[in-house]
Amino acid sequence: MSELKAFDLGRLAGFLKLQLFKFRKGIVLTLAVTFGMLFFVGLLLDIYVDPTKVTFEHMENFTGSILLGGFVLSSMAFNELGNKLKAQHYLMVPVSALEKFIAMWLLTGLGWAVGYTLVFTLYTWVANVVGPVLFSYVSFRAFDPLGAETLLRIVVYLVLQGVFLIGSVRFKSYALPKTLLAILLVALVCGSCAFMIMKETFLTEHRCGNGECEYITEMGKHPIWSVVKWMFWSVLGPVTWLVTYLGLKEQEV
Amino acid sequence: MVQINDLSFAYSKQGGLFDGFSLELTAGNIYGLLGQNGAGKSTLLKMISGLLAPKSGEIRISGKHSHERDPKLLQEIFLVPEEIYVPTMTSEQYEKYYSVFYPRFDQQSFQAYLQAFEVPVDKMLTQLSLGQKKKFLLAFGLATDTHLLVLDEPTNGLDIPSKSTFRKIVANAIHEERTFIVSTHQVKDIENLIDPILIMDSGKVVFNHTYEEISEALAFQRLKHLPAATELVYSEESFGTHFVVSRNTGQESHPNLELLFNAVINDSAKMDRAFEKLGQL
Repeated sequence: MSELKAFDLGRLAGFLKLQLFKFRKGIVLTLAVTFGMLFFVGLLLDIYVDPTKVTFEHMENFTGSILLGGFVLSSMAFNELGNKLKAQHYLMVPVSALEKFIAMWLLTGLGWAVGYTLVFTLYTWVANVVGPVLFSYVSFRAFDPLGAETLLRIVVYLVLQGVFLIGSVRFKSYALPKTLLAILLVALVCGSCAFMIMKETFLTEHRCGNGECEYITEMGKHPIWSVVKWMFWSVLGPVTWLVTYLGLKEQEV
Repeated sequence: MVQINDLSFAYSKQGGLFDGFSLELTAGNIYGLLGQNGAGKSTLLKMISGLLAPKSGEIRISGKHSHERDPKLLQEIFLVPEEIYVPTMTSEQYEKYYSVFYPRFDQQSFQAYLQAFEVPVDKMLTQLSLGQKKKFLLAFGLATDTHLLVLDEPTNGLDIPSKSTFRKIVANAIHEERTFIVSTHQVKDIENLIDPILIMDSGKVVFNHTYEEISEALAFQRLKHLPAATELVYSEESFGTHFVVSRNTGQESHPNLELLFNAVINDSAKMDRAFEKLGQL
């Protein structure tokens, strides 16, 4: 069967509505927890523990929270497959694997990124009014949802969330911790390989501090770095989406 | 409608369940699939529904491979499994979100079935009892008008009045373009509903006959004394009475499915011989 033939926009819209309805509590809960952490840890605690802070940027918080919330949400994307009865029900819905994948990517990838950026922008408007009342000595910077830095972080999220979609489709339970563990193992292997390849750079004397690190600069000059960058921006996203789709297609009960 | 050719399947940890299995199911019938535990009924139903892929061979439904789960095919199959899962939503929400996938879904029939089954429509589906959940899915499945309706142990969890309602509704919902497969252990619940009757044993269909053929070939009697050994196919004794399945030599009797099932499982070869004679006539 050609998957392209099995793609129907009306069916996708119907399935998207269904999944959005079923997923609504998870989305609201993820948003609530993310914003709770953002307000108490990212804003109040951050300023409280650093009294020297005179300007407050939202970008760091945005990066952490869009990634964290999105990864949690993406790990729940296919949680129905972890239960035999739910999986049976899910797989019998007359929608192709491609449509199921696209619906979930739209919800947890693009949908989360756009929706979260929008809500985060509203949050910064409130924070920039409330913040100076609580901390008069701190100047709060405006957050630009369409700025180049924001868009870069959204793209990074879209590239990385595919890894959590794979975890969601492959791991039958505890998808998030299992995915994180898998990432850690892969990072260890990649780190070891990088060390072997750039052994000389690592073993030479170097200085790091004030945002500058000689060996990061050296690593950046190494030809392998351009391969890593290319793989991150051009390969990682499509490969994780393909693996997720194939995992979805070959599901059995 | 359903064409199974040379099917092989094995669960990895167990031995082969199906080997060279073939079967053809035609439209317009309510097939009764009977078998002991572990005979392979549920596995077969899962493979027909596309939830399991065969190791080799093929299952085609209206010409399409079931395991490919083509949405066009899935919109013609509805499975009511033995154990039920329903999402956290009301009956109305379920209808709103799921009916869009079934092009011939009939809203009026759905409401009528729900009413006939006395399923409360104001509660969340997750708050319904097992029997009510099953009746809800049955009502939805019947209203989809899919060409293939697969019912795995549909009467489990149903109360006595609901079983009677189930028989009436299912008998009325079949038409020449639909095929129902009803798998059950509760043969008494679906007696007079299923026809033809398929009996499975150890991954094989050991019996596949219509009611008419059964009535012509066999006689089901309750006798004080056993008949001549040449005519006897199977007998059970209970409180001094013999429940007998014998070759039909002109008697009129109503097929007793439980007795028939026991007779087939006891000696399917003997049963085959009884039907061979029918074929020669």
